[in-house]
Amino acid sequence: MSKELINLKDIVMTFDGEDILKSINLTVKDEEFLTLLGPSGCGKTTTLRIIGGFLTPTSGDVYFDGKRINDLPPYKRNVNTVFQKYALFPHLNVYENIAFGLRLKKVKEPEVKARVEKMLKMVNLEGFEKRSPELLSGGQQQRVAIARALINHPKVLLLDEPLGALDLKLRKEMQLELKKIQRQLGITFIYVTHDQEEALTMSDTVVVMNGGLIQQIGTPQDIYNEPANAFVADFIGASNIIDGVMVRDFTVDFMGHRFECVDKGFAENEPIDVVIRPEDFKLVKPEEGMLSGRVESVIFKGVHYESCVRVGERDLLVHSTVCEPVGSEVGLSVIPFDIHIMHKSTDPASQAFHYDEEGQEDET
Amino acid sequence: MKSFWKAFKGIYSILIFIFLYAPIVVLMVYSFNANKSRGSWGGFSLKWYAKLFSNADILDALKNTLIITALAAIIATIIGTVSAIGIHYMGTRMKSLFLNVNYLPVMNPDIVTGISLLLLFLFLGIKLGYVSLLLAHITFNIPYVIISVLPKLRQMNTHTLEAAMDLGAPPITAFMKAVLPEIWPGVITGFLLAITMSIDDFVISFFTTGPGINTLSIYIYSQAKKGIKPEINALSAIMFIVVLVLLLIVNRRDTADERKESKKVQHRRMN
Amino acid sequence: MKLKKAPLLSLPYAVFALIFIVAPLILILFYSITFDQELDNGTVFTIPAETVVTVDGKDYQMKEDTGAALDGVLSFALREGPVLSSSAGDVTLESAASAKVADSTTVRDEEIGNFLLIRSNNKNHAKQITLRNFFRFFDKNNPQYFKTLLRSLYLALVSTVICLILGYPMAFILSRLPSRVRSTLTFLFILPMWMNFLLRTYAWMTILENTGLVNSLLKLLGLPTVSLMYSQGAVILGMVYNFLPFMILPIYNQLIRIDASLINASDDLGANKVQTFLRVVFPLSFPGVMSGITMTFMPAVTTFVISKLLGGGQNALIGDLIEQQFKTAGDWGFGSAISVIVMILMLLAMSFVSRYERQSYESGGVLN
Repeated sequence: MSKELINLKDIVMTFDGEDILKSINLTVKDEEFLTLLGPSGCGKTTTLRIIGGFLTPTSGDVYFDGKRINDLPPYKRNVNTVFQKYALFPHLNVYENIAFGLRLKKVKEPEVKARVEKMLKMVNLEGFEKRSPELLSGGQQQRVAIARALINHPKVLLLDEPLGALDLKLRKEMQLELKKIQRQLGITFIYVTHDQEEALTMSDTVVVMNGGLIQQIGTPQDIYNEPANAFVADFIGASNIIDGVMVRDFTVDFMGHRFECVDKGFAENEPIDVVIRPEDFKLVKPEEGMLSGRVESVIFKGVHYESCVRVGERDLLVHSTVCEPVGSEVGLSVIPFDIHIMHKSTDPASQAFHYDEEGQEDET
Repeated sequence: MKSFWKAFKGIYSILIFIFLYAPIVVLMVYSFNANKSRGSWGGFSLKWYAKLFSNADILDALKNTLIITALAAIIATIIGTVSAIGIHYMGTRMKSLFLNVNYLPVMNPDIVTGISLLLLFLFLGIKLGYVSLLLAHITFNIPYVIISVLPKLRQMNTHTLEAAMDLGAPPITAFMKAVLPEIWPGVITGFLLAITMSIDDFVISFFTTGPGINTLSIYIYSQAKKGIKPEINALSAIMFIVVLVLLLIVNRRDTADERKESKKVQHRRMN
Repeated sequence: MKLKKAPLLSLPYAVFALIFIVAPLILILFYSITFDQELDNGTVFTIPAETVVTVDGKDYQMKEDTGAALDGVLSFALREGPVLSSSAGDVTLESAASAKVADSTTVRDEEIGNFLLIRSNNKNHAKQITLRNFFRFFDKNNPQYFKTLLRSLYLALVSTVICLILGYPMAFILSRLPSRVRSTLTFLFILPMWMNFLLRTYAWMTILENTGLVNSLLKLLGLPTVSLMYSQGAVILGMVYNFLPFMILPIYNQLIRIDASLINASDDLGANKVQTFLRVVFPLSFPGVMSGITMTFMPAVTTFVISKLLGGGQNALIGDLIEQQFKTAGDWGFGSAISVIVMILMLLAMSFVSRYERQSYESGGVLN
């Protein structure tokens, strides 16, 4: 791929004695769509704000195009931001909001007009020039914010949960549109979200963060299929995470059974976590399964049924197109390829994630 | 550039601070001056304080001020709260008419409110004195109570009262149990606002009081017009300290409330 | 629904407001177009300042023993009929109907030179509906009243501008402080606002008067003393001192409501600190500036306390004029007319300002 554009080296950020970022090392390549994904308080917005220049890291360095820019104020960085809740200027109309950056550079009016019109066209807001941003819908405000940030031709666009305030349908539309704009302009997008689906849909690279640490960096496929630890596995879609022991290469014990798997390189008899995606279990007759249990509950989810199967002391989540009635005995089978083995970690940040009710709050 | 701005900020704040406090400090210092004239320092003395407290006129004015303030604030808070609720449930047109009338005493210069009430009292044949003074204070206090209570009503869930009645509470009980607790902070704010408006008022009182009935403000005015009186210095010093202490208490209470609030939020967040 | 009856809760206040808010204003309007002819017909006596008034066998000398003398004259007047009224503009008693003398509120005013005695036994009030009060105010041949209005507007305007120039930076500095220090400092800056208005003005008397602090210091340094009191400068100083917190507070409140993300956005889009201030912060604080201007200008125009205590007679403001009409001259009609003029001016100013304030409410949703 293309060259490195932004480099974060050992970034530590401390607020009031609390470590928000513990040691962040991250490389952002030119023209890539990179997503910082994680629950509220994981440090993703802080990382974004350090790149934007709104925060100076407690220690560590920020490089942009090879130059150290720790102390460069935001207005001197070739980076623009689409803010959470957009931060449109309420005293200016749409046109003047978008033209803001050009006015500062004392660009001549005809050019301002041409460029603003081009931007409005790009975000499908022609004819809204004279409107006050307060009279626009959330989606329209969003487009204005994007146009305002892009008119300065930044090398990098930072987006801080930009779709958080939109409803589901609009969010899906805007996801596609953002991706389209990014490809069209060929600039780097750094995108912050707590929505794993959004991250997987749009990104070239996903950076999963928790507890001020990067948990995994990879393509959406990597992140989903080969989660690095229990946290990532659990945060990216629902997962069954089971304690197990790696007997030797390609052989693992869990839930009282021995399984064949495709992983190797673990110590003999090392305690590990086993991750199995709910859709990777197959519901079979009790006598045909590798595991057997009783169906505790079934929920119809449209595309599939989500069943909860009790095997011994544990409940396993199973997605399946067949529906076995509650109370019936079933067998479960899984192919070796779908058994993911992960090192057990002592770091609490990499433990399985549990959504709390207010997991979507703003963070500092 | 940065350090220049920092220095400017500091110096500027200090200068404004001095400007605001110098006169008060001067008054307080002079209140301990044994000499009557300001030209010379005659040594430390508490005699003006002694004189102040043996001055029947001042004590009388103080008594009047406190009585009028307390009565006016209590009556205005009750009337204001009740009518705010009425206004809240009005139709738009009625409401805006009501609010506009309500705003008149707030927007009108005090002197106009004062003389208009004077004219009214003379017209109705109400003797100028305690009663007229009290009525005037109630009149200019109510709008502030309404202005404080209405936003709380607006914040309140529209269905709170209905829910209470739905659960079997008769209107009055529903109001007491469901609505009043919700708007209570606004009622208290209105009450405190009424107290400060009343205590501080001079202009309206000046026009609506009768012979021989002084409030502190009126007394100070009549004395100040005659020139400087050292007793007034002592009075200023005491009033400043009282205001300071009261505000500190109110402030402390506010921040304590805020802390409690934020703790509650945190607690909720943890669960 | 039972709630349909809820608006009835406002009924008592509706009645109250009708009597104590609406009716008084109607009365002012009514009096402003009324002229009491009786005033002209009264018989006028003058009691010179040094006169000894003998009432019920007791001698009182005007000026030295004014209070007692007044009481004497009053009771005499009540018994005999004549009514006291104003002298050459100085503070005295009011006139109107003789029976009302006892109710007169000006007995307190003891600083009295000459008296006029007006006999008005005639109880026939020949009230005339006329605009002559207004004509009198704008009379070209006697421009003193109109000049007083202009002087009030001028002094209030100067004070407001000074308050804005001093107050805006202060509000800005306060709003940029870390929140802990901010609340304490803001508290200190609004504390003087809670001090009695009269005492705050009075404080400046002790500093400015001929034997006051400034002159004492000058004397101490061997410099010639200066006369500071009873000048326009003193009035402006008094106004600025009294109303400065009212300028700082609304601007400060508006400034802290500005969402930090808007300032970040401006930085992000390439604005330096000065540009951000001029293009984002100041425009967004404008509603606060407007209400600061209102809260300073309005009371400054109509004050009569500051001008009385610091300005002396020659710097009388429109408020003094109104007060004089009611408290001493007893010309309610003219006083009412001036009040109506002031009221109209203030309402015009208000409607101008409220346009900006409404804007601030609208943007409030986004700013919060």
